[in-house]
Amino acid sequence: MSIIVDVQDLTKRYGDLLAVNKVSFTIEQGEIFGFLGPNGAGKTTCLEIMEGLRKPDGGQVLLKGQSVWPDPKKVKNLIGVQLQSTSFYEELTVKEILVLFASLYGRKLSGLQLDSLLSMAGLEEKRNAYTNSLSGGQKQRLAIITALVNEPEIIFLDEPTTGLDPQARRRSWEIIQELQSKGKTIILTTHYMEEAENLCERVAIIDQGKIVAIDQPQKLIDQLGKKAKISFASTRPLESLFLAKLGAEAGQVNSGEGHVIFANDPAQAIGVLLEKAKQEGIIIKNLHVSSPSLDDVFLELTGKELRD
Amino acid sequence: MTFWTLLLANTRLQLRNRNSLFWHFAFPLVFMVLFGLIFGQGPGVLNIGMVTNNSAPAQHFQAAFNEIEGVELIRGEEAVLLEDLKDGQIHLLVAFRAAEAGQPVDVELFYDQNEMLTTGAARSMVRGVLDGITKAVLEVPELFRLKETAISTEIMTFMSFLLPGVIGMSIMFSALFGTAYPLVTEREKGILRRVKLTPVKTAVFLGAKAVGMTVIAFMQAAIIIVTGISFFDVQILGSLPAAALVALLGALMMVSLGLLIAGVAKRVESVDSIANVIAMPMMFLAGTFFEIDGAPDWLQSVARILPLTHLNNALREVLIRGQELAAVLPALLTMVAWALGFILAAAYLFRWESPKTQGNNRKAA
Ligand SMILES: Nc1ncnc2c1ncn2[C@@H]1O[C@H](COP(=O)(O)OP(=O)(O)O)[C@@H](O)[C@H]1O
Ligand SMILES: [Mg+2]
Repeated sequence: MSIIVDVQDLTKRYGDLLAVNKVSFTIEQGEIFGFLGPNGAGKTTCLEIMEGLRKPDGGQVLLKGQSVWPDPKKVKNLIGVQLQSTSFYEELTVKEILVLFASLYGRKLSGLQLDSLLSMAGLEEKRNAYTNSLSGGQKQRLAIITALVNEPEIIFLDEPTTGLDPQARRRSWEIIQELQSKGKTIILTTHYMEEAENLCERVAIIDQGKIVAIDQPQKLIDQLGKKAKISFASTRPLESLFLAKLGAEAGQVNSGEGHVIFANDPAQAIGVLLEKAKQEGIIIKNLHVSSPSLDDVFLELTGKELRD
Repeated sequence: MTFWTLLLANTRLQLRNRNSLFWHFAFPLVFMVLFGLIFGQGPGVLNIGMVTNNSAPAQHFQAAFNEIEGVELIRGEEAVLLEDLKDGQIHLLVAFRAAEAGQPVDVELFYDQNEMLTTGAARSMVRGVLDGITKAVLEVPELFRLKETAISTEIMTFMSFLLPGVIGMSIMFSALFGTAYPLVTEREKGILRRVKLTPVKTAVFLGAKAVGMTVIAFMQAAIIIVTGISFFDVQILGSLPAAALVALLGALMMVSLGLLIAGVAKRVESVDSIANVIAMPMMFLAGTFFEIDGAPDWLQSVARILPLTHLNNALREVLIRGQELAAVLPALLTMVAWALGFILAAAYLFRWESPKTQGNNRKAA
């Protein structure tokens, strides 16, 4: 496998705000790479610098060995892009949009290419529909296949599934996986940790313009070093001291009655918890044991919840 | 290839949008019909007094006006007619002075300054008829016979005089709004950013827009002319291909101005105000409906250089006065100069994205 994306010390300021702060990473050919971070973390800025839309204040981006800056023209045929906020010409049909964008690359779509793009996005029935009659999911999928008309090797998808229902989201994941199976390299941004976990081979967790961790999702979770996540509610507030006794080294006390603790031996921790509760006449509700997730990694690394 | 696909897409966008359809095609027609109803039909709408010297030109003049619907020629004594003019009984007084054979005939025009709209159009008509007579006399060696043929075909109506102005005005409004509006909308919606990611050349992208819009403005001119001929008895004296060329050039000039407006307007809402601030005064100053020789000199000097003035004048000369293209060459060249100026300025100001997306100049946003 060879490195196809090489980003070094990328920096971008907006006035006093350091939106992207010395970001460096590499991506292998054929990977699905995700930027995971809350709104305003700097994901879009980072992506759009790599696409040649925004000028960096420092650092460099190499796509297949070609530097994007100062002359982004050179990578235009190499990349396909779905921007975060996509809108189309409302008075054109799905087919007309695809033909138009292909022609902007100096290409003519064959009937076969058109059919395969439409079927990939499940838009065969909609080929002659005006774009303003499409559902949110259909629009997003149209944006994705519009990014494919020039047969790019590297595909940038900025929040491809934001605002979609779970079913539509899964549909988009299938498309992205199909692209990967065709050898494309995909870089996407998301603030859904399920998306990062299920879809991305590697994720960069980004917060306030900085990459705070970068690895395979499972490895990031393993690095937390916690086997289980126990969440529950109680009828009375619990003291943190009490929680600490549960054997959870880093207990997290949530506001009000909801608690989350991490334990290496969940069975033992729950035993202790229930015992104590009984002694003190506290009733434990909604007891739930799960594996830690990227959410927890994010929380651990930044002290913040991923979603607001 | 790219260009044609873009041109096709742009034409579709215009023709599928109800708003733009209305402004491009319905509005000019509504305008024509309204003006037709006001000025085109019915006797006694316009009374022109005439003092004749019984010369041949005077007779031709009389013959020409007798055939114009909506105009009544009232012959009489100069002193009486002048009183009538002051009383508002007649709108215009044309006095043919006695002349020696072989000398130009002096013709004096009196009109009511306060009746700009009616007398303006009437004066254009009188001038047109006189031009027609002169032309017939000058261009034809066998003076007498051809004079008559010329005049019997030169039946003019008010609408004939209004038509070029309506065309010029429609081309201007359509081209300004039809070019600037979509472009700024596309920029605001981020479509232009998406296009910027493709290797398409700016010149090709904008060129397709400009040509598409020019074609539409041109179709519009054709529709107005056909309507004028079919429903309002408009007489086209000049060659249609020559008029087409003038209209095409005019459309190109106005589209270029539209591109410039798109460069200046930061947001869609500003397109309206900027385009109207430019178009409205220009419409009146450019002699679209009436001559402005009652205006102060400085204003007239301004009016003389305006893009629409040249378009209107050239259209009027070619369509209604039957002039050759060569005769309007100065106007055509001026239009080319305006178009080039607009295009250069537009190219300099053109932006693919709203200032705020780049972030480098936050204050400007
Ligand atoms: N054009 C801009 N001008 C000024 N600030 C901007 C601009 N674009 C983004 N920002 C700011 O930079 C930060 C990162 O934004 P963005 O890259 O859009 O983050 P994300 O995509 O992760 O939500 C945010 O604080 C945002 O407000
Ligand atoms: Mg974003």
